[in-house]
Amino acid sequence: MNILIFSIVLKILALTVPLILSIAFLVLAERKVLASMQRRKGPNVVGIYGIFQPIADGLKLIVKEPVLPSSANLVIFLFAPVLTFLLSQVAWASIPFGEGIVLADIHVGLLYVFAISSLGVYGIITAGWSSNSKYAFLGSCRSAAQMVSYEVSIGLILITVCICAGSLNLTEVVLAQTQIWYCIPLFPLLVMFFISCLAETNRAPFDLPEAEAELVAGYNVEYSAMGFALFFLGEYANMIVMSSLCCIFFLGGWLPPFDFAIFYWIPGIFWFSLKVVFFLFAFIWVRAAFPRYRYDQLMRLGWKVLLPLSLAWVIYVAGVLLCFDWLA
Amino acid sequence: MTEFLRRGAPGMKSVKDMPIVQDGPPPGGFPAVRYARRLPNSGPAGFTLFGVGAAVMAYGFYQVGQGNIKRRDEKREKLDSRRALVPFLQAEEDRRWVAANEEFQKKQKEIMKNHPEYKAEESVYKTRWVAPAQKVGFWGEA
Amino acid sequence: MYEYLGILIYFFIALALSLLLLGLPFVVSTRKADPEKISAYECGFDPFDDARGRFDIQFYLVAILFIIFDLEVAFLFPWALTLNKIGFFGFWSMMLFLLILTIGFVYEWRKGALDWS
Repeated sequence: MNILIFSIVLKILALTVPLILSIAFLVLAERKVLASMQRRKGPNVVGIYGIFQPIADGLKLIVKEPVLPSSANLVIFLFAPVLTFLLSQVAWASIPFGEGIVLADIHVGLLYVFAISSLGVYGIITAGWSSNSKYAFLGSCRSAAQMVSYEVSIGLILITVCICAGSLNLTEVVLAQTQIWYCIPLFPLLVMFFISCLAETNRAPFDLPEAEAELVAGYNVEYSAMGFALFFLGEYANMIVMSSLCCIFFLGGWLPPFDFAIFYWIPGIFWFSLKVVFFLFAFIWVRAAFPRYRYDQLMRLGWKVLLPLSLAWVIYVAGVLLCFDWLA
Repeated sequence: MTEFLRRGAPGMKSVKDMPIVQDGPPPGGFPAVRYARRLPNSGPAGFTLFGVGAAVMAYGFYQVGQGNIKRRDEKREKLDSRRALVPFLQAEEDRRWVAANEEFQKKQKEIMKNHPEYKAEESVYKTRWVAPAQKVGFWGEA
Repeated sequence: MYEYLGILIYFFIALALSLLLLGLPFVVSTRKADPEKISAYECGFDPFDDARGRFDIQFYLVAILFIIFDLEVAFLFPWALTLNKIGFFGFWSMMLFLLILTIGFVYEWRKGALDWS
């Protein structure tokens, strides 16, 4: 039993430390890539090519004064960023990086991931509510309503993938794609899932609740050093989780593109990382390229476009696979 | 520069006569600027795109089906092999249990050798049958 | 079975990590509470009334709708898993369920519950 716990702790460390490093460098990468797309250089002062920028940012956030607003409910106020960060970390428990390379290969992995993203709304709402500031509360209401609207279409798309794969186990979903990746029959679903992920993580072009100009960073307006850092880290960890989910569900996880022996010399983790990086780049690219959605346009998209479409796809895929006896 | 005053021009009698050199358009005006959008309507037609997409997706569904059929067969094969192994595993466990039980009975007789009325093999339950408990653990614990 | 133990331990480790990150600024940095700093942000003005006032009914509607559709998704999960065993009968029963929910969805669309957020 002891050795089991020890091995689990080692696995968690092997998961958490690279994750935090990658969040830090994702922040830098986003700034550099956004800058390149806007024909300027990003941060390149701190290290060579700005490599030490995230460390500098982290240090700055740590030494800032943690301001606790007088009218805030302190316990919930401090609890909200902890919850957000916690959930974004725990979601990594069931993500497979290779055959058997997963912390918890639970048989309901898909449901677990869906549940974690649903719980993420709590962090937002408690943050806005406990700040006791009208701006924060309004921002958090809008952010939560947006997240919750796109949860539904994410759920329906997951149902479709589940029908094709026949299992909720994420490793099984990836192994089901050895024949063909699901982005080929379900390409529109990949697009819809990507859009829903963008809206779920409050990323541009759906970041009106946290748009700097209008609502002054929305629900985390009252948070200074630590809370802000945790929200920030949580948001980027969420982004990476959503990218890896896109890869697992549609792009065949750790599988190489073609089924030839030579591609298997490159370890699966490398293919997985490549695909995740591609999706992260797409996240940043979309942020650079598109104007922001207005809030009612955003909600219209979630409820009137994506929900009926994903529901229609569930029915369509279930019908097609059932008729030809192509179910798992 | 928009304009400056040229000092010392020939034929000037006072400051008021200074010619003003202005920065203006070239004679004949600027050439016309193309401001209208010209998005070429090239590329495949809508229906072609839709048809190609539908064909690719249909092929994709077919492959998903083939993959699922293969996985179904593999899963059935795995379950069948497990089913076939059950008697062998049960036989192994039975052998181990019998040997461990013998050990345990011997130990009991050893400990209770001064009490002839204690019969180790008999079950404690007199009115109904209860399956023998796994008295000896898998790793040899009591 | 022991996989869930991994999740539990991960939960505690992540909690410890986030509490560490939370507590670090308290330890490291100076803290001087100032009435201007700790009052709520209101674009430079003094905060008007309490933020616990009213909020838009639209958010409540969105939350209720989310519950309905999330429950629908929750019912779709076991159906999706066992679709090969329940065959066409199972498919059409689920279609009936989805039809009822779709009628509800069309009703709320027409009533305008999905407009403006």
